Amino acid sequence: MSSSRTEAWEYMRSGGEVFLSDGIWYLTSAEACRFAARHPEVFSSSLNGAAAACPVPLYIPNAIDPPEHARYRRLIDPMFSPQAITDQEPELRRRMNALIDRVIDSGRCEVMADIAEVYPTEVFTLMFGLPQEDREKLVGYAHATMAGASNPELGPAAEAAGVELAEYIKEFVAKKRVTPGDDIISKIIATAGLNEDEIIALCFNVIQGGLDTVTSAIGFMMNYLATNPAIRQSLIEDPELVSPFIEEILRLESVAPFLPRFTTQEVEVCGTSIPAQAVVYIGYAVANRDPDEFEQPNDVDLTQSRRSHFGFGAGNHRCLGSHLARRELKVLFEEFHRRIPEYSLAPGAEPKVRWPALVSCLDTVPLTFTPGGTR
Amino acid sequence: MRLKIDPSLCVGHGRCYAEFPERFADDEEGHGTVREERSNSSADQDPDAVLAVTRCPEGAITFEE
Repeated sequence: MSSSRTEAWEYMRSGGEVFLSDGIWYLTSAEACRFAARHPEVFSSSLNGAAAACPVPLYIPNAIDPPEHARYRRLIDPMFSPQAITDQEPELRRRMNALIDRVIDSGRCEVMADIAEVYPTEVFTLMFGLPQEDREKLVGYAHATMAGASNPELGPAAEAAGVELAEYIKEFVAKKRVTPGDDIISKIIATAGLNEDEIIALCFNVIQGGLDTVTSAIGFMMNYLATNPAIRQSLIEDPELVSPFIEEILRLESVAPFLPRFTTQEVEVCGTSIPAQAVVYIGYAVANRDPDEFEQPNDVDLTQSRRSHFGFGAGNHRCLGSHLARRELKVLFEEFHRRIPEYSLAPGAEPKVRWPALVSCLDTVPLTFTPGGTR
Repeated sequence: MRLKIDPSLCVGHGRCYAEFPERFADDEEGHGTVREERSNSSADQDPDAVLAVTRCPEGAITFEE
């Protein structure tokens, strides 16, 4: 599976555990990536905000180093804890079923447009207490602000979008100060010690981190299930396998393949010396295929229990939204297959990964099934 | 040996209680707490404890005498 990604990551691994290419140091082995993740004082994230088109000079918590980093995580992690997500689960299920309602009678579903690009934003607006009708505007801001990172020509447009998004956030912060709700923005406002710039920086980071990534994971998951009916059937028959399967998809498809850092001092990684002030890409996607770490590195392997992977990164910057992402994918899996257990990829469809991009994502995943979803 | 969480390092990533619910619980803030203080085993005999230690993103968990 994922043959094009397998080839790409194997090609990167062939360069070595640690190698320099075009001015960037790549870390490709599990050991090298873990080392960098565990030493944020050496592998600094403080320049990461520049690519975000965020108009305030902060990007929280992604571009914050220790010791301030832990302070921010301590404030926001409880809002994304497993229990906080469980509290939202009935609404997550309700919204997933509403999306399925829209497609089930047609016998067709383009996963990206009909579900993947919609669901994570609906969940986001729900949890942040933003109006559902602003969903498309938010997606637009998210895409526009991040576009400049992979394409410098889009830099000015990204910056303009960043200013608009900051204004949008400020407007809602002001509203929630007057009329607080049971939502994350209200909780952030009520948290002592965060000023307005910090709140904007935090919202930017969460918006940019939580939308495209889940969108991408949904696309990969449904594409895999559409093209592997035997595995799909075994997952439907044994629900205990669903969570391990989701972890394997996250491992194999690594929606955030490379995370940038820069070195604050010279450092030796797996026997290779990297100079100070060097740009380093932690290659989590390649680490996720490390044969020293995973027995069947390039295939879905449901027999490994308690398996750890780098799909959410590692170390102190490990994904804030991991519990939410897993729950969104689990709810999608359960509700979709409860209602549409049989489907396949539309004839002639060739989903492709858009590249280069910060987030690795399929362009289209068109499914066909019996109208009504019956077998 | 026993598992310990250093509360000054824990920020609430939640990996410990999400991945090893038999060994860890969450408190009201989503921080990790150890369910059973003492294990009769050594590191060799308690692979889950060793995994939990290595997986904490903040390095807040120890398994020691």
